[in-house]
Formats: sequence, structure tokens, C-alpha cells
Amino acid sequence: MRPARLQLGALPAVAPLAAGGVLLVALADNAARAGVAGAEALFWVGLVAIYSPVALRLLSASASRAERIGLLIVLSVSLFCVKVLYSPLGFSFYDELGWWRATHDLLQTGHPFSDNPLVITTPGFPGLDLFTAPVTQLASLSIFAAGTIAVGFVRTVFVLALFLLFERATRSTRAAGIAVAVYACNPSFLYFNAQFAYESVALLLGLALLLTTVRWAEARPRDAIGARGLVATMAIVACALAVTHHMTSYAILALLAAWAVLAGLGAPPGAAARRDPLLHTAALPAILLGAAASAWFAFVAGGVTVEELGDVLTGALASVGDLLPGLAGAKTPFESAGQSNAWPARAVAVASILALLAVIPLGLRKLRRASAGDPLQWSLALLAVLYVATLALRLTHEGTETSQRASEFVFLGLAFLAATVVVDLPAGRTAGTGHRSSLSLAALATVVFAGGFIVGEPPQGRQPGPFLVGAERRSISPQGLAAAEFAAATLPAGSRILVDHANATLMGSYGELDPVMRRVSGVAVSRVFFDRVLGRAARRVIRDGDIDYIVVDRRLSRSAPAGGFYFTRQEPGAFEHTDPIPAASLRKFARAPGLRTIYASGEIAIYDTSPLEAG
Amino acid sequence: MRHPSAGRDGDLVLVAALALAALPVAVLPSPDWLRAVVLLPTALLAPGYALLAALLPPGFVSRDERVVLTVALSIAAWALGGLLLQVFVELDRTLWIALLLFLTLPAAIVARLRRQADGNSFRVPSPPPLPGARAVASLLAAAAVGAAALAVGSAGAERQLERSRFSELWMVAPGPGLARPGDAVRVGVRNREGRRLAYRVRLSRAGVTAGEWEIRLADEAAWSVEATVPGGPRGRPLVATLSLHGSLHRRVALDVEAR
Repeated sequence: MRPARLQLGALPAVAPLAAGGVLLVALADNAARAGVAGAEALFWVGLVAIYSPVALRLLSASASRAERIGLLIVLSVSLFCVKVLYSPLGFSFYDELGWWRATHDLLQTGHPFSDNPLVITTPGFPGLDLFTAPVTQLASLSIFAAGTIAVGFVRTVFVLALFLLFERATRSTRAAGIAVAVYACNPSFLYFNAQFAYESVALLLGLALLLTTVRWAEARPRDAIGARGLVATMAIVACALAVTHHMTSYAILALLAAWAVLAGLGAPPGAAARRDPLLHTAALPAILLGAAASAWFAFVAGGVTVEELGDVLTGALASVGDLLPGLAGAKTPFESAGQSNAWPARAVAVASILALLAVIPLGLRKLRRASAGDPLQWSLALLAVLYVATLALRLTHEGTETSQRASEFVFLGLAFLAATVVVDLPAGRTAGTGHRSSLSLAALATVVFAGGFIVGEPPQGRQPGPFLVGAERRSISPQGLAAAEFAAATLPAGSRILVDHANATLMGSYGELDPVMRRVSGVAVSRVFFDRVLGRAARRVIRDGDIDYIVVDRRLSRSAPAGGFYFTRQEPGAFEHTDPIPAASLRKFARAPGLRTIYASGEIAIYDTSPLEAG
Repeated sequence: MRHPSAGRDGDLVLVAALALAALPVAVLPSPDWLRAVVLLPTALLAPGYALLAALLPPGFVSRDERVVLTVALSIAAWALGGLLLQVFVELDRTLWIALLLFLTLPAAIVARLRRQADGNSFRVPSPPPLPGARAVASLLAAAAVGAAALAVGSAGAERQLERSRFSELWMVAPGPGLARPGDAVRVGVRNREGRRLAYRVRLSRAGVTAGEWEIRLADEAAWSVEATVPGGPRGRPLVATLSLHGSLHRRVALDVEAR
């Protein structure tokens, strides 16, 4: 017999509010594209309309479990729509275009290990394109459509997985809902982890492994029938995670290892000790994931992993090292290459950070006082403590990227601690104090959410808008798309080109070319563009780099790069450009002996280097 | 909880039927919308659901956990299955269909056999309760507003693209390296000015016209022609120009190798 109706409480009222918020964001983004005043304010109103009602209802003590899950699904889908609305016609984020290239190459060649000039790790971690390719081909969808639908669906299930994990960790559905609402405040949630990239899928695999670990650690002897199946499930998910994303594999492995160690040592002082057979704790999934990740690193992905993570981590360490004695590397907080946040945004971001910092000691104190803090809880608490270190990294340009990448893991712990603190406060079931408390907490949560987004995205990257020089996705333009379309149709695939960063994302993906952006024979590629004449150094770059074409965007001479660099973060003068590339420097290509214009669209010209190489 | 013998395998029958239905839809000529409607959910859910049912008895994990693990195992099935198979064959649509069937059907059969063998050890959970009509109507209305928002956003993005107006001119040699007299080069134009326009394309070398075309192109339309590289003085390039409204608008050139 089917039970009574599903109790959804206020969800039927909240869902239309959230949808209305999405509509406001759509209108705001259109206004931003047209350069209309007030677009930013409307955008924030839309975001608040999505987040605040959900947060308020999650804080209530009267919401049922089904309602809380429904609210989180509404929140996830609505915020994903916000991300899609940034660029609804095609990918525009750098990583997305890199993964478009990887998936496209898989569809063309039938194999997943093609070199990728944009995201060098795609040949080492083919999980995403191996998942997207069948969706694309079976459902007859474009890579953009298939990738967007797949990531949106996976992300929504990820939010459900978060809820289940926090429900287990906190033993409370109310606390679990609150924890997910806090997790959504992490700087990467709205855009970075919603993009078509490997981490977006890997996070679900990681959470799935954690959930099966919970089952494993709590299994009873009569569950032996399912135990073998559970081990097989963990092994399959661990292998899939290992071939999908490096950082998520390592972060989940570290969490499992901490969990296993804490389980093996027993509960912290003051609590009852728990002793389980080692393999019946998180140790077994940790071993499974460790073995899978190690084998994959050793036999397939070691090179690209070291190349990418090595660059990121050494850059972060170097910039922190420079920072300590007051040397170069420092970044002015809330500023990015001349783009600065207005004071209200700074205030919100600071309030957000302070609120999260306050959660750590309060949550740790509560955990310590609890009669039986379990290993999962303490493992999450350890993650939360790392938040302080990630904040420090944001004081440097190179460290900001590391901090951003760490936030989706660190916030697992922060969200858990925040929920344990908030859940004890008066809730919305009682009139008066309870309602006022819920409203205040919802307002604070909204500030934390807004602050997280402000911290995670530079001002020019939050909404679409008119073309900006050197601004990543704000530099994706019809002229760039047209040039890439020409390249794909006409130039040999894999031709090596010199090009600025923004156009490289298009040429390296839709154009199917091979951008060279760093150094050749010790000479920075940027020098080829900055020099007033095509001198010896530039010619050496072209010859030694086997460069076939040079792509020049005249708009680079109209302003300094909004994102701090034209070509790479390591270019000379990166994050310090105050003047644009001189127009004369870009005009030199049209007159340089040995170069010929083979494509012209007004703003973008493509030069063939064959005469130079022949000469 | 229902009695375990009462339709306990309906879920397995459904997932196997989805996988089997995918075969004709994927193989036979079908409209794209039908493929998307049938194959998208099948690809995202069927292999994971069947695998999970084969690995874990019903009720071993909660319904919510089953949703999470179903999707995770579907991702794993495609990723690991594709990784293994690409060692031997190229991955294409036929192979994906075969993988879908090879994973889903045997797993569903194994799951059924396990349930029969397990007998009454585990009980099939009761079907979930459904929301009321008002709640469903409200959620559908929210979905409609969300869809409208995406349509509004897409229209705005289209308008932004259309505000950029430009024309493209290009010329490429038949192969790598310099063009030579007698080679066939390709010259092309694309109109992205937002309206129908008349262009003049001229090909010349050392001032001598090798070809001239008057073309009319609709917005977004393209034109190209193959032309022979004429002989000429050493060191003089082949030049293509695009004129619009009588004025020089674009210029491209190719170096010509002396014979």
C-alpha cells in the first residue's frame, strides 16, 4: 500500500521564488551584456532570491526530510542555471573549452589520450570525456548540450550526496540541510565546480566513495551478503575516481586516511574508545583508492599530474616565499589586475570570511564536548582547520589558484562545523525568538554565500558583458569564434600558433590548433608581441617553436589585460601591466618580411610564417 | 514494506527494457529529439542501476543512497568500460550501444538471480510517497519559469553576438609552405555584417589582376573560389582584396615561391 502524500512543506512556495530569482539573473545578465546600468544590482537581487528563502526554510525545525532534500535540489538546479546563463550558447570557461577539445578528439579518433594544448591533464584523466562521449553520441547531442546536461545532473546528485554524508556525520537532517547550504557558500560552488570539467564529475565519485565507506564502517555481521558487493562498489568507484581527477582522488584519500587513523586510534580524549578491525574502517576504501590512484599515476598520469600540480604548487610556494620578506608576489586583497571590488562587496566578503573563521573554534569546542565524537566528524573538523591556510594563500597571485582549488574540499569540514554550531541555536518552530533567530541566521548565511562568490570571482567575471582585453571568458568574442571556425575548416589540425590567452582557448578548442603560450628557447612568447620589431629573439621563437601561424588580436592594444596577463601568468610584467601592448607592436606583423596575412576580419588577423621559415 | 514476491523485479525489468529500447532508437534512423528523450536518461542511469542491483541486495542501502550510487556507477561504467575497450577497438556509437547492453542486461539478470537466491533475506522497499497535486503544479510552474529564464538568457546572448558586425577574407595555399605558380589557392569571404551585402573580391600579383568577382552574400553566408597562382616577378606576393561600398575593406596575401 502506498503511504500518505509526500510532505513537502514550504517547497511549493520556495521553488517558484527560486525560479523567479533565476529569471532576474537572466534579465540582469542581458542588461550586463548591453552595458545597462543597474545590471549588477539586479544580479545580486536574483541570487539572494534564489538562496535566502531556501536557507531560511532549511534553518526551520519544522521542515521534513523530504522537504529539505527538495529545497537543496531546487538550490542546486537554480544556481546551476545561473552558471549556464553566463554563457547559454556555448562554453566560455577556459577548462570547459579544454575539455571540449578532449571530448572532440575522442569522438574523432575513438581514443581518449590525445594531447591537449589547453588542459594538459586531459590525456591522463579521461574519465570525463569517456562519460560525455557516449551521452553525446547516443543521444545525438552536441558536446555543449551533452556536457551541460550531464554536469547539471551530476551536480544535483552531488548535492544529494552531500546531504546524506552530512546527515550521517551530524545525525540530524536539519543540520545536514544547513551544512549543504553552507557548502554552497564556497568560492568555487557557483561557477568553477559547475563547469564542464573533470572535477565537477569527480566530486560526485568522491562523495559516493565516502557514502559507501560510511556503510562499510557501520555494517553488521548479518550484512555479510551485501558486504562483498559493497567492497566491489567501493573498488569500482575508487578506480573511476582515480582515472577522473587527481586532486579529488588525493583529497578523498587523505580524508579516508585520516578517518582510518582516527578510527584506529579510538575517539579523541574524553570520549568512549571505538576499536574496529582495521579493514572494517575507512582503511579498506583508503587502500583501494590509494592503490588505484598510485597505479594510475605510475603507469599513465604521472607526467601530466606532476607538470600541472607541480606548476600550481611551486608557484604558490614561491609567491608565499616572496611575500614573507615583503618582496614581489603580494596581491592586494579584493583587487585583480586593476579591477577592484567596491567597498560594499569588500565588506560582504570580509564578513563572510569572519563568520566562517568564527565557526572553526566554536565547532571544535562543541565537538570536543560531545560525548562520542566519531572519526568521520574529527576528519571533517581537520579539513575545516585548513581553511585558515587557504586564506593566507589568497594574499598572493599564484596562491589564489591553489586556494580556489582547495575550497571545495576544505568547505566539507567548514560546512560540517557550521551546521553543528547553528543547529543548537533557536529554530523557526517557535514564534518570537525562534523566528527572529532564523531570519538573522538566514541573513548571515546569505552574506556568507554572497561573500564566497565575491572572493571566488573577480568583478569582471561575475556576469557576462562587453568584450574585455585579457579577461578570460569576457574575452570570448564573435571575432574570436569566427577565426577559430576558419581555422578548423581551413588550416591543418594541430598547427602550432602564437596567440594570446583568450583567443588560444578558442583556437585550441574549436580551432583544433596547438597554441604555444609560454617560452620557446628561453624566450617568452609575449615578447614576440610586445617588441616593436620582429627581431632576432622573435624569429628564434618562431623557428625553434616550429610555429606555423601567428594570431594577432588588435584589441590587445586598447587596454591593459583585465585578468593581469595577455598570454600566461608567468609572462614578464604579469599582474603589473598598466599600459596596453603598443598598437605599433601589433602592426609590425603586417609589414614584417617573412610573414603574410592569410586571414583578416578587422580585429583579428592570422599570419602565415611559411615565408619566414622558407627564408 | 511489501511482500518480496509481489513484483519485486519490476525495476530490473524496466531498466532492461530501457536498454533494449535504446538499441533500435540508436541504430535505426530516428529524430534527434527521440534519441535524446530515450537515450539520455538511459545512458545516465541504466548501467549504474543494473550494476548496483547486481552488487547490493534491495534495501541494503537507502533509496537516496541508491540514487547517488546509481549515477556514480553509471559514470564508472562508461569511464572504465570505455577505457578497457579502447585498448582493442575505436570507441564509436556502435561500441557505446554494445557496452550499454553488455553492462546493463547481464547485470540485471545477475541481480534477479541474486534476489531469487537471497529469498526473504532482504525486502524490497515500499514505493515512495508522491506529492500532492498542488505541490506538483507549483513545482511545474517553477520549472516553467526556469525554462523561460534560460530562453530569455539565450536570446540576450544571441543579441550580443549579433551586435558584432564584420566581414572575413582569407586565402590559403594548397599545402604547407609557399604557393607556386600554377598552384590552386582558395580564396574565401564570409559576411557577418548583419545584412545582405555586395562585395568585390580581387586577386592580383604585382599589380596584374588574376581574378575579380562581384558577389552578394546574405548575413552569415560564405563564398569561396579556387584560383590559379599566376606567374610574376620574383618576390612579389599574391594579394587578395575585399572591397565593400567601393572601399578597400580587407587584404590578405601569400608569398609565391619562385620556380
